[in-house]
Amino acid sequence: MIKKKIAMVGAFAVGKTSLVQRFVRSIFSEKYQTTIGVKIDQKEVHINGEDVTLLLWDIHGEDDFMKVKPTYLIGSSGYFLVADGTRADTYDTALKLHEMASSVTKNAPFILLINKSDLQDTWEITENQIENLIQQDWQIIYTSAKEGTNVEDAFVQLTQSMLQNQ
Amino acid sequence: MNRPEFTAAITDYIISKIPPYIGLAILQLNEDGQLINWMGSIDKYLDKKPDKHSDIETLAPFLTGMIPPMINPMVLPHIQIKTGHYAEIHIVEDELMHFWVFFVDQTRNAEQLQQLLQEVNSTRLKTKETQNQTDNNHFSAFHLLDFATFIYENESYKPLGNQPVWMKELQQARLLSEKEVAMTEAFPFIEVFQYEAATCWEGKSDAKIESGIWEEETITGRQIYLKAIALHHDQINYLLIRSVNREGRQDNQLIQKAREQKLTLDQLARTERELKKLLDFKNQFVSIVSHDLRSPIGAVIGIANLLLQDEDMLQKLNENQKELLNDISDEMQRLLDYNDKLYHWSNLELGNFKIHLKNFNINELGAYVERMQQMKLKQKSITLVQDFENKSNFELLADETLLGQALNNLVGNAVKFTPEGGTITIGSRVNKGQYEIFVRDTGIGMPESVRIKLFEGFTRKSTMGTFGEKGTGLGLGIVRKIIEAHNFSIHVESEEGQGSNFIISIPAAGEKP
Repeated sequence: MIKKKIAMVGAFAVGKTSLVQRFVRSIFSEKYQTTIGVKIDQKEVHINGEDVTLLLWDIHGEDDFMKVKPTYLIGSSGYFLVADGTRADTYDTALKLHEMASSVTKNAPFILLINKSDLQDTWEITENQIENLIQQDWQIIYTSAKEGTNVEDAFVQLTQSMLQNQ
Repeated sequence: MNRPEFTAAITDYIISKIPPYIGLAILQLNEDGQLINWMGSIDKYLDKKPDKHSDIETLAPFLTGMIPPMINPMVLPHIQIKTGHYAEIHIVEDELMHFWVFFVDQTRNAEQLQQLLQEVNSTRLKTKETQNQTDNNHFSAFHLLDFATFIYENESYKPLGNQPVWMKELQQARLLSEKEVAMTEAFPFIEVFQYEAATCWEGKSDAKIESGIWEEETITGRQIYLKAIALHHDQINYLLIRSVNREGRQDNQLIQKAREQKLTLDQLARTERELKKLLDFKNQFVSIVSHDLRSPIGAVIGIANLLLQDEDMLQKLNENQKELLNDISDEMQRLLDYNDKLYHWSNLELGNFKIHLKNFNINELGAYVERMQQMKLKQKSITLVQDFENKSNFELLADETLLGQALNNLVGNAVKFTPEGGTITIGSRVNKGQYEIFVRDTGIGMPESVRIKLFEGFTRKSTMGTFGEKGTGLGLGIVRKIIEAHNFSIHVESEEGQGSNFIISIPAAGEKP
């Protein structure tokens, strides 16, 4: 069976762990629990006629207390940049992490997930900011780990891109 | 070749003792060990072609010293007669003192056995090697310190010493208990850490490198935080893994708290921004409404004044009606005053004003304020004293109009709270290197509870003056805005029944707004 590593990177409290837990275990918790270091989960999927084991590297959030080590991304076939739509600064963090991630993974496929789409009324990330990235051919998906919106789709789309890229 | 002459005993022996005849060859020797007869695939086992009376030791050197046999019969299994060729040899002495040699091909059997033995022995040797390392290694007791220790060689991990308790509780414990541990399958994190570890493992001198923390789960679903250390010591590579649950949990709690606070602060900042937006919206609304109300209020005042000046009409009115007309004029005037203040206040709050700084004589402002308050001062027989230090020597850099408005509000306020016959002093002085402009009255003063909230802008309560004057509750809020816009400061000294003293402090020259 094919094994593929996917890294989840982004600022703290954007919902990386919640997205993984929603995808792997179909659960969601309102309580914010900070991730220390790395938590690796696995999920088997059947995509494009192939059985694929996804190794999901849920990497701690980036902030002044903890910086993401580039080595954590080694061997990733693809990665998710995760931002919290309600916090403008998480967009900047995602862009910064993208520079590092694309360099380490040698331009592996990625998707920017703008999470917390259930709170879209209070989003600080603007349509202009999103439009700018779309102009640069970025793939962007609005997700809600809380409601499960687009979570499965996001993982399927990234896996398809990774399989095409291999 | 002469066929051997089988005796009954030899025939029995062949039937009962010789295994299935694979490549069977038979030699019959006389009492001197010389070949008499033979049969079967003899060339498989002998280098030379046999002749009658050939000496057996010459013919088959591997049988040297074996005839006569020490025990009868003598069976020698798995004898490598030629390279890669094995046979089981039976040497039997019969009742006629003749010797019989039977060869049974065992090459295939020996090959299989060799493979099996090879594996068994290799494992035995490895176990012994590990046991030796375990016995002698510095790290073999590290499980007592909560470390799981592995030797890394030839790209595989071998456990060293016993497993710590936490490791036995892991979901992947089974993968970690083998003689060769499937490390990266058990801990995919290590697959990546190996890249960093290689820098110290491939070095020549002793070195170590630590990984970051990662999280695993126990069989019961409990979280375990782990940390790996790659070590190169005495030319041996080690991987040590330890549980950092206590440190991990402490770090976790610390970072969790810090991040929660950051999230709360972000939320507060967002709320503040939203409130500011709402306040600006409110101020804008007030500014527009108060601006648009000025014309109709002014028109009503104008009409009331026209009526009050119309002698013919006034003669037709009784005293009560004249008083009502006067009340209309007074109340509308007060409404206009209130509206003007509201307009100024909302614009100040919005920052819709520009300060035009210039040098001017403070005495001029004193005169301006006196003119503005003349009527009210006269109504309450209040004396206004101007006490500017050295009179005209105090020049300051400020917006004359705005500062005039602030002083006018302060003196107006003093008039309101000073009983008839009282005194108000407006002046300036130098105090501890700072210029101060003050407005002091002999009024009713105020308690501390009022004083500390005095400059908070719009207040719901506006205290009635000593003459029954009503206020807008905006005057001192406007004063504060003007003073702050100049980078000046204002405070009040007051006690109930002892009057009040409002003091504007102006920093030394050079500090401009």
